[in-house]
Amino acid sequence: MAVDIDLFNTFSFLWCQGPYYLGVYDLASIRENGALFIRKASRSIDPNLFHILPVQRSDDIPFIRWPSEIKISEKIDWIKLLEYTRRMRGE
Amino acid sequence: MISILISNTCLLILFRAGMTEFAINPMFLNEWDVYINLSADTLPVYTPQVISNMFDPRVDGKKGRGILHGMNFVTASSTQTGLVPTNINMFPSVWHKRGHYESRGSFNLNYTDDDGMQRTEDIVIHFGSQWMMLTPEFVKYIALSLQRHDSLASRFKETLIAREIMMSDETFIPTLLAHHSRFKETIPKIGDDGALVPGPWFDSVVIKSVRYERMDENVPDAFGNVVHEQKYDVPDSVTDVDIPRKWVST
Repeated sequence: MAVDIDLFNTFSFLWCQGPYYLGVYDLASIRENGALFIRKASRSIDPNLFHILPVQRSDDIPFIRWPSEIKISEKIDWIKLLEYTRRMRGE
Repeated sequence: MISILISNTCLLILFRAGMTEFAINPMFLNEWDVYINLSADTLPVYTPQVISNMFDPRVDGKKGRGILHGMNFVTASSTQTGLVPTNINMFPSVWHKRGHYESRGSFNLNYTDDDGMQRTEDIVIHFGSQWMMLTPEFVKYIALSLQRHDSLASRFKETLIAREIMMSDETFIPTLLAHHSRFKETIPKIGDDGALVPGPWFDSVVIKSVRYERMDENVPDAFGNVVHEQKYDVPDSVTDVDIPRKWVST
């Protein structure tokens, strides 16, 4: 996606993004990432993670993530947002 | 099991105080194998024994040394270039991080190297993370360098202070690492997929970062990358979970 960084900086106040709550649905990403450590950026964490981590091998991490066809939260349409910010700037 | 020195305090403070002690005091020197800087909100993915094995300097038959032994990691998953520090010149010219460090000119520094030779170095700022995993040799180098007024580290620090430019440990240490002829070779080697190139013994291991974190509030990043994964939704009935808030520039 072609992104105008300046546009995003200017209108960054338009979207809510964080802090991100760490949950079991992050396990697939953690496994793919191969990281040694994970960090929570929010005050609390899904307690289920304490029952799963730490592991001996990456294969022991369940490959769990939200299915893309399931809408859990409002998905950000970045293209639409980009068009909106351009309109706001009169471009 | 090897000795892992774990800290959760700001690295630059450590180098001014406790870390220097660990690095050069004979009582502590050679008593630890890797320095890992963590914060209180960090959790291990692997058991202590597994992490220890990754840094083990001892050769174990066909396995060789630990997969991460001898490397200096100065980044996290939120670092723009993954396992390797991000050169400031890779950022778009309008990016705030680049503008800040370039606002007072280049860093052309005269210093005396480890062998007593006078040198001039055009310092290129590199960005990483304060959550590092460092070798004892590199920690010792920084600690000793900061005690010598004409070293590259000291000249760099003095220049930053004189120009009133903010320098955090997440840029100061990666920049020093990238500019040392020997230690820059300890920066992880990565393949086209961004994963660590681990060597012949570990071809099945995939490591794209040593520390996983989602910092959705910082996207889109300098390169236009955005998060496509879904976020959780917080029900009204829940009170002990953070509600996603708007990103506020400081």
